Amino acid sequence: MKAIRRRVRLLTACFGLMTGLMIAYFGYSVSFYGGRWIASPHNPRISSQKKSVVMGAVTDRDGAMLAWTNEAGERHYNPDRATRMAVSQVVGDSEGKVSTGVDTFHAQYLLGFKAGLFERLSDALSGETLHGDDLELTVSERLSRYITEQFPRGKRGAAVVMNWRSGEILSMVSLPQFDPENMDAALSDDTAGALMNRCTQGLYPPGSTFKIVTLASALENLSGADSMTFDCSGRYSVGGYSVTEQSAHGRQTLSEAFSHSCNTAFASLSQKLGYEGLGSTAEALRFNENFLFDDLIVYNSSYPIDNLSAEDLAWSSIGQGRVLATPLHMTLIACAVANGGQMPEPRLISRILTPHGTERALPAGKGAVSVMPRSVADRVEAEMIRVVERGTGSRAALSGYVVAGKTGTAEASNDKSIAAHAWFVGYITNPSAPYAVCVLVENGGSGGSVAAPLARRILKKTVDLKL
Amino acid sequence: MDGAWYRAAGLAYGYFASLCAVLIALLLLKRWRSERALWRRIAKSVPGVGCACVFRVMSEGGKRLAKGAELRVPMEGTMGSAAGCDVCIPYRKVHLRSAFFWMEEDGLHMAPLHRDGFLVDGVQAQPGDEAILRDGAELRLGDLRLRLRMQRDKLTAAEAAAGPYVTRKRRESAQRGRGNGLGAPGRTREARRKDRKAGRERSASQREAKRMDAAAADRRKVLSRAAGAEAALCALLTAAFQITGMLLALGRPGTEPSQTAQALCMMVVAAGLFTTLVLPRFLPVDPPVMALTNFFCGTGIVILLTVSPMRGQRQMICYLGGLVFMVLMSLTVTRLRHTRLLSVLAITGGLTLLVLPLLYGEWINGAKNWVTLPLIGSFQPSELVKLCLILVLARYFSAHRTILQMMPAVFFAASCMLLLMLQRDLGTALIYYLTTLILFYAACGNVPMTVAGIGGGVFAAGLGYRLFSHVKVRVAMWRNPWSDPNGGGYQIIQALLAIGSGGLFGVGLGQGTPEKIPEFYNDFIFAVICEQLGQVFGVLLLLLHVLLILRGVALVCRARRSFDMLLACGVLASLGIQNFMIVAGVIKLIPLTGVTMPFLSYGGSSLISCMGMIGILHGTCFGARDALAADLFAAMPRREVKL
Repeated sequence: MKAIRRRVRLLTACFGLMTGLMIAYFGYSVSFYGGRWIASPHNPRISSQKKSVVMGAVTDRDGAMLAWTNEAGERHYNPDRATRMAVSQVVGDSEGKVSTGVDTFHAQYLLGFKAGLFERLSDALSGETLHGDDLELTVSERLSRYITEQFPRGKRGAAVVMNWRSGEILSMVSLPQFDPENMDAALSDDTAGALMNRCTQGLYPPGSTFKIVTLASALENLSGADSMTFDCSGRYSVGGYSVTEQSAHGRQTLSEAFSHSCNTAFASLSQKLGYEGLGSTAEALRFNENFLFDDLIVYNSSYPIDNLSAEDLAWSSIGQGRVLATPLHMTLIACAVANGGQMPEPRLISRILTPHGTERALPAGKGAVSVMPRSVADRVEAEMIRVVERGTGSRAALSGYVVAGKTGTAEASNDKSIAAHAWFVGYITNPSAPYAVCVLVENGGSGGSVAAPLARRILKKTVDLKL
Repeated sequence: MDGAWYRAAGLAYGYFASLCAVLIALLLLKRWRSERALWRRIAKSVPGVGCACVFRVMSEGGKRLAKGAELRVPMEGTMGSAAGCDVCIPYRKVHLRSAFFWMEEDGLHMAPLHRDGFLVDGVQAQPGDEAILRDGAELRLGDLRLRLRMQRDKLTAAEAAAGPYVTRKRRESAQRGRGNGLGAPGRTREARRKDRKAGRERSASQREAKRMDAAAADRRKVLSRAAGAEAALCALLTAAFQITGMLLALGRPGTEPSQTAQALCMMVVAAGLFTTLVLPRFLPVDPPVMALTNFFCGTGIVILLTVSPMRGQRQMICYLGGLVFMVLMSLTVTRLRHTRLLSVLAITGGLTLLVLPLLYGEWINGAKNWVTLPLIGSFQPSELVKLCLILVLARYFSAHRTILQMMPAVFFAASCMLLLMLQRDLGTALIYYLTTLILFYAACGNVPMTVAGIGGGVFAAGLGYRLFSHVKVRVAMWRNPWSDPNGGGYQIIQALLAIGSGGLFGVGLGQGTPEKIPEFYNDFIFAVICEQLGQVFGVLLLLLHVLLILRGVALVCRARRSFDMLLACGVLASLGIQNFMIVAGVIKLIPLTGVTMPFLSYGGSSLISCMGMIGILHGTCFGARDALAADLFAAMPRREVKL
């Protein structure tokens, strides 16, 4: 009898543990995914709620109206076609075709799902049509329009501007764009991929911009990385394949190899790091991580860690092969370097205004994440400044400010006739202008000659606008 | 009511529901604490509690066991020098586990557990034998001599006159399984009835019996009334919760509530109050368990009345029927004497019921587990057979049986599971399997066999995964429902969206779009509850369910017979597993298994079977309380009871 009692108590403890686990899982999934579930395009409540609730308005950081709903219940977007197109993927559309847009992803606010008891009660009792919350975004429509104008004609691509200290996204531009007032045209043209936000959903090989990660890994894991020298003969053979360079750089230090963006040097460096060393740094910098940001959906970047062969490792270290990253993630890495190793959480919503004029508390977010030691971040910053001062990124230099950056020219295909993707990732180091930028021009050519000048113009405009 | 008011009231109701649940939980916790303190106080201040008889040590027993010491013997248990034994004899010449004993009407029965056996009044008993010890019998364990002393009041006059009783070998009956594990300790109702029939000392014995009855009832009342205000408050809270919910459900703008629905609602509220407040005074009913059951059923009824009024009406009828069934079950359990006959009936009846759907059933939703009978209508036999299974398992696993003696119940459970597999009712088969496994472990604690059982279950699950295509689909949809949001994953995705859209305190009773979830009234009622009354209320429901289980475990630990323990344990295991399986399935923690949520889901068979299980729980609880009352009476027969 005593024994049975003891076993029953043990079983009860197991049951309690399992129920605790279930409640913990319930709490976890509801708090992390609850908002995403509401915003799901499969949720029939969104369309039924739209009939009974006046959806809130969306404004940019200066108060310019980006989207609103009129008395008849129709959703309208900024009257200026260029403006509404420049922010089209960020704001989204009224039919929920752009599932990552604010109009869909933040429907829980815009449609009043987040209202508390007293707000709902007073709304219900007053008998008026319910109003959703208004959202003020961190993006600037002026900057977005400028970036769209400055982007090379006819090219696809993406550009992200962020405040590297606070994580506020000042602009997110993805080309091609669509007109939310004329969705039929956007939907009929299925080759353009305009509904996709390339900043957050576009997975591209990061090319040489990934060398920031490799450099950080070397500085963190290899002692005496500074004194290392590399012989560049224009070709580095590993495992039957060879990593090539257009011209031989000769004997060079690690610092010189980074500012020349020397592929062979980094390929040989990767062999010293091993796939665990590089992989751990990449994962610390949040590759392969399922981003669950409160304000926006970002697809997870991928870095292969499954039994990497020597040549795979070599290609990975220079951002080719199976490494894929979103422009927003590369911006976040630049922000982390600028912040001394603290990667901020990207923010898209600056204020939530209830229909009663009060301000609703923003979701707390998970705050900045420490991704690398401060010493390493400072060293990487010094190298990135050198790239802009006298390396491949010299055309991004901005007078009056110290710019750090890294160019990238990512081969998107084995076919040499297809031009490479042009990348530039960088930021202004001056604390008075904490702006980070990432530019990607699909099949644009060389990062140093195409992306870097565009990044310089974007940074200059951002500084001028005093955002 | 106009639309705006209805909306507002519905919203406020979500908060009110959470408040009610919190208050009920707190009240029950308070009651639990005070009751535990009471039982502890009784155990400390009344020495003979839970004790059937006493062994007096007649020889020197080493340093730790003085001559003349008394060993208290409970109703059932093991005897030996191990600390885990119910009668621990701290003497190294006694085996760790030397004997198993149990009290029956004709004396203390003992069966050796070690091959050395023991001697009773000079007669050797060996494994396979069963000895019956009467008052004054001498037991020899090794070189230790013990003399049995029955409690005076626990002997019938005839037994006291018979004097010391010598053992008799009962090999055949022992091999069939030991005793029924149920024998009352002496003066039972039957014994008294026999006394009366014989007409010996007619008036005197009647007067004595009446006085004892009254005194025992007095103690019982003290026990049940101790800290009884909390249960009453819970009942009132539940009633308030039900009444407001029903008013909202029936008063939906644009609908005219039917007379039947109104009458049924009144009856349900009245029945809830009656069962918690009045019934425990004269029938075996445990107020906290009843209060929780009523709250669960009330939540289910309110939600069903709101989202699907006709189903709500049927649910109310089933609830009232279930209450009657519950009382019947609890009376049966307290009066249970012939478990052998009952278990044979349960085995044959259970198997017959499970074969019926295979013969006369129809395929519904890929399973063939419904059957329509004349007069009764359509029902799900597997739900009712659960009760049979628990009864049979408790019967064959109780009283320290060997693995071989447990086999009949294992075979019965296995054949039930096989029949359920044939019906493609895999969720219920899983409940049966886990209940059997848990009861097996609780009863014998045989870890290798339990692990072998788990291994067999895993093997069967693997086989099921390969054989049944719908299992594969379920698992795939659990891993990633978004891969097929409009096909296989539709149900689970809609449930998740409903839970997410509800927010912390719900969109309000009668709001939202629950009907988008297939089976919203049945398996997925948890998602509907979360949408309408909020995620907080959903979590509170789970916590209240844990409270019900904990209350049940407290009852299990107080039971004096392993049969009662295992019976209550089987009920708890079955309810706990079923609740976990469906809720974890709905929130995508485990693959979905098509079982109902106990008390809440729509479904007559499920509700009635759950109420039957609660009846069993009441019965075992009452048994423990009755025995305690008798002990209290024995310890202080004439004093006024103040506890």
